[in-house]
Amino acid sequence: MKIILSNKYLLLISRIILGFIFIYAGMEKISDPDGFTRTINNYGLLPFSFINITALILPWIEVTSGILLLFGVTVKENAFIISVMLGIFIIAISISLFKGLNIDCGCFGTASGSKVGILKLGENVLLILLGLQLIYFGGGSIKLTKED
Amino acid sequence: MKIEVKSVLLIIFVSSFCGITYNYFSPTGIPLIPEEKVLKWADDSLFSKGKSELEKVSDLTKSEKENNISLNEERGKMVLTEGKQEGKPNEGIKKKDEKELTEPAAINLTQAYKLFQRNILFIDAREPVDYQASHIKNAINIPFDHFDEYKHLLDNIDKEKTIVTYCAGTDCDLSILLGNMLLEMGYNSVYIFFGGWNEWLEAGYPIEENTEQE
Repeated sequence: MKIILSNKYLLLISRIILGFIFIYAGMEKISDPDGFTRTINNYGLLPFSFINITALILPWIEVTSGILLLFGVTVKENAFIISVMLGIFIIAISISLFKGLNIDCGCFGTASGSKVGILKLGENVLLILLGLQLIYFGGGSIKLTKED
Repeated sequence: MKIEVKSVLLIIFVSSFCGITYNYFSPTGIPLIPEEKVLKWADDSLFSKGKSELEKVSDLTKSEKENNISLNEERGKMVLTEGKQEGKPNEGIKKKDEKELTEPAAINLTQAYKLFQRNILFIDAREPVDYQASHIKNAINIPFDHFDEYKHLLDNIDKEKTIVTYCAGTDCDLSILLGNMLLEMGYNSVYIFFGGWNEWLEAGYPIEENTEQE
């Protein structure tokens, strides 16, 4: 099992999936900061004055980590950042589900219009598993930087 | 291999910097700290101006006794008469004495009650469950959290009509959100009854309770 999970091609695939999803999700949010602030506001978890700054910073971290992950630069660190973000998303979605809110997920910006739900929770859990795999095994040998 | 905290911090810091810089130059940029939307309280003069007219209206409705419901107020101070005619006789008067608003103004209990007496439409922004249990008399329910599902209720409401939104009380912002939404949709006379359901109930003003058990 360990050998399969640490296979360099599998690690590359995980990196591509995670990286691509985060680049896409981040760019959608960057293109519509106003919509993203409303999404965060809908969740009702953040204090009012932090909403805008979060809406500005979070998508950029997503994109940066996504790109670095894709190219295999500091994979563990980026996988860690992404996993932490996914963890926060999972908590936020769970709370919304628990409260019975019928709100936009905002996972891929507001345009996609997907609602918060069990399916979203599942998606995030799958992604966090990929993240944990990368944290544990690193990015494999297919990458830009030399072996450290 | 351990995670290098330094790299993590560097990535986060640089990304944050990029984000804020980008926002600064972006045409669709937003302020770093959102402007606190201070609720503008409606001026009492807004209502008092039409007061004499209002009395006339209540005389008018009084004369049509067959439709009237008299309710003894809990405090026993006044007897309220109320017509069922959807406030049509005072529609013209309303337009005269209420300025167009650029943002929904908050109103207090007394003002809300004055508007209520003029048969103005109240919209309950709370969850359907709460609404079904009990709500302000003649109010309709458009829960803000399910706005899209209930939007059709607004279809036959004239954009010129005065609307009052309310939710549970001072702690909830559903009424404010709904008020802003309505304003965006083109309703130009939207008020927010900020005290909401709790104040209304405490004051003992007319309510409608679930009568299904009867």
